[in-house]
Amino acid sequence: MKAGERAEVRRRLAASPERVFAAFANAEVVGQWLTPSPDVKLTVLELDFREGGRYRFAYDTPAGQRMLVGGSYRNIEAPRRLVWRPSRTVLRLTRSLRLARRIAASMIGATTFEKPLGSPRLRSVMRVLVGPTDCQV
Amino acid sequence: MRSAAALDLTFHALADQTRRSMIHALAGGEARSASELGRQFRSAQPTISRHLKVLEEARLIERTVEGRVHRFRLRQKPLQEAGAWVERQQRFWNGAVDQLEALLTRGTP
Repeated sequence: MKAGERAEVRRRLAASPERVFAAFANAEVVGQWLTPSPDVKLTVLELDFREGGRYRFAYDTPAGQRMLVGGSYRNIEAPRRLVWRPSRTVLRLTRSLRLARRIAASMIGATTFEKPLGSPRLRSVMRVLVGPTDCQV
Repeated sequence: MRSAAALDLTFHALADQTRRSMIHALAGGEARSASELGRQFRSAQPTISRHLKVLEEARLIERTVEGRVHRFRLRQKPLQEAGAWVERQQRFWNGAVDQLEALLTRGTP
């Protein structure tokens, strides 16, 4: 890793920023997509979508592992920008000893949405950044 | 696997542009003295020392003392672990945005 490297995803989506933003705000909707693959089942344990509110998600893999992720919402500026702060990642292995790891206390994530020029069908650009707390989010 | 608290220290150490630059300066693998690093970054020695101390506590660098000269060398493992975490985040979000895209295409919500 280069020092200070961060995860970044940028994607054009066929929906307005308002609609994309709304997909982050509702527990039932979040449960339908915020998972790395359809095989990994997400259960939204808590989603208090306001500044300072907390989220807690449980991910169950086909191999029987459960991973708990939590954090809080730092800035909610609908429909343009959402900044969150992961508080911990806990990995639980059901078939062996439990491993608990608290990571990412110095990380921050952000999603921004904007209306792109060009194709009218693709109506927003979503950008997700996860990196050290001083990175430009 | 290092403890979570250690990984927190790593990310805290990385959350500063000067410290990231210092890591780049040490990336060649050679040990450098505090005064060499101070000249390169045109910073006062106490500032350099403070940054080096943060990097050392995060175990991103290690110190050897030869007489009055303190030399610092980069340790690869914490950086690799931090990099693996970032890569997992990258994979997670690539997958999640695929699913969001599919959900929006299906017309819900």
